[in-house]
Amino acid sequence: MPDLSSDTGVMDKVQNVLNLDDEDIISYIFIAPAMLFIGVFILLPILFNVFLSFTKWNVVGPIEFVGLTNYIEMFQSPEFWGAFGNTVYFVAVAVPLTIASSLFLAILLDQKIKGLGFFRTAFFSPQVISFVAAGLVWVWMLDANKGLINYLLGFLGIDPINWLQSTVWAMPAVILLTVWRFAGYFMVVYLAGLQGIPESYYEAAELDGAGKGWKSFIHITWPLLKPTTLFVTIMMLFFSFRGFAQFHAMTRGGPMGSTTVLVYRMYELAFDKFNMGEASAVAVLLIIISMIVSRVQMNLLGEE
Amino acid sequence: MMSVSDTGTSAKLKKIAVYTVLIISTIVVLFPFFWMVSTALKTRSEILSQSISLLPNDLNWGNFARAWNKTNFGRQFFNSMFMSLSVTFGQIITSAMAGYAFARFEFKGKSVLFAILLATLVVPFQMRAIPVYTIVAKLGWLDSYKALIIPSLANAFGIFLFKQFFSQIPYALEEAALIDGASRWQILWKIMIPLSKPAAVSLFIFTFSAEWNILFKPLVLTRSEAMRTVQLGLTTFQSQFSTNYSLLMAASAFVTLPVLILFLIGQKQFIQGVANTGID
Repeated sequence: MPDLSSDTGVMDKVQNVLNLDDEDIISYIFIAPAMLFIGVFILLPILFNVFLSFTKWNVVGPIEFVGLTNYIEMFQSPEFWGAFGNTVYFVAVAVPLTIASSLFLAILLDQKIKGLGFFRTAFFSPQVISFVAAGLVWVWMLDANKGLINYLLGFLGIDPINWLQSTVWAMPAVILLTVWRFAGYFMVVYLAGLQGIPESYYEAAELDGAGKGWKSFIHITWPLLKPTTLFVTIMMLFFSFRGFAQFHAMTRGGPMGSTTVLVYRMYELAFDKFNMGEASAVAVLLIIISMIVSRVQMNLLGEE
Repeated sequence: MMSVSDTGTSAKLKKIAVYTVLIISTIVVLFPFFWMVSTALKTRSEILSQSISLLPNDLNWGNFARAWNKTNFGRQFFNSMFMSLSVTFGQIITSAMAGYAFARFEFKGKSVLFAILLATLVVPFQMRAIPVYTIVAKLGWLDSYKALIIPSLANAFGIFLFKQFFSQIPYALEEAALIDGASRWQILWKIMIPLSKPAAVSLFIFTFSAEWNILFKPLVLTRSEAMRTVQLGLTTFQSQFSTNYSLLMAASAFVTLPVLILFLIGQKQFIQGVANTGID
């Protein structure tokens, strides 16, 4: 760390003009590396993205300013609305399913049980496998001819289902993988929330005859977990909204676009069709939606 | 109200029910891992046979070697390892420095900068892939380690983690060092960082596994086979051997192994990390 006070001339002048004290200068030096990388590769790209969304550009040719054309084309294209619908479907099913399964697992573990550490590790473990590797396992289990799922369904007299080639079943299959991968992660969050509820609340309920069953869950556990649920909901909203790898590994957006979510649409437009302008318009929309969600989150969490 | 002996029996029944559900849930959650390894050890004819058995007849470890040699997985492992370690250590350094400033100093623009950092958290790589691709291309870095590493060298998450951790360390330690004539720089590296090992370990685990598992970045920023990371390599392997499931599962298994080992070594920090970042 250079001694700044001995730095003569220029530095002092800058310091005087901006009215900065030594602590300001030291702070800026400490945050400089982080701010440099974040500035160039996060902040600048966000602004550049907005700029590109007003242009037509195919990567090799010149960048041409076209005003709102990309947004008009985006909102007029049936593929966009298809992707929009798929995103809503994916998020609207994956989020509540993840909440339900993670809370279920957490409640299971929030008992006086032996081997808590083992079960917690087991439930958390899907978090360590990549969506690509896990997706391949899912593809194999769901294989129409030789997959385990159809084999087991055969015993119940159900005909083989062509899961990933079906416009009806492909999305539920990807949702299942997503929920499997995140349930253990949010279980840990819920477990911390559950352990924050004083035992005396349940004891009081027991005296009133509610016990530790369904009734006490509705009247005590669920209401007291509201902040945790809110947090889990928002985080899972983000995690599912930005989902890409599970689609790339399992369906590549197909069949017939039935699993093309907005992020996948943006990827295809930009890196398959080299329509950078319209792809940027989709990206801007994704960023705006994310910002709104995080704004809502801050307001809601602020109230709690 | 139940009698005492009734409560005893019902408590026992409840216990049995809880363990039954626990064990079934564990089997369901772990089954895909089991199926991955089991399939990786089966022969092709076992996979194509009419009846499905849970365990392989013989342990065909050779499938792993065959999958490894079918494509350049050695190179891909090196690429992923180099990228993940560089990004992780880079982020620990930039995050510790910035986190220290945000935790301990008052400076002009602090709250504005902090708010901006917060906002960047909701814009993941995929949502800025187009401009990052363009910037990286303009810098002439496409298809290089620079492309895989430099754009990820700082992240707001790590800064928050360190800021939070540093804020909990008492001032007294630093004051003593300041009186002894230590500079802020020395205090950060000789006092604060050694005290913040849990934060550094959390960030290491979080960033390393995220980088190891990332697909979008190498998909967009690399082209040649030589620059492929394991996740990208796995997707191309999938297109080449789409029905050779024992090879695919063997490849999936060894691609998963590094993070799995990290997880088994540091499971406490892994899980604690979620609980910490989850609540605050």
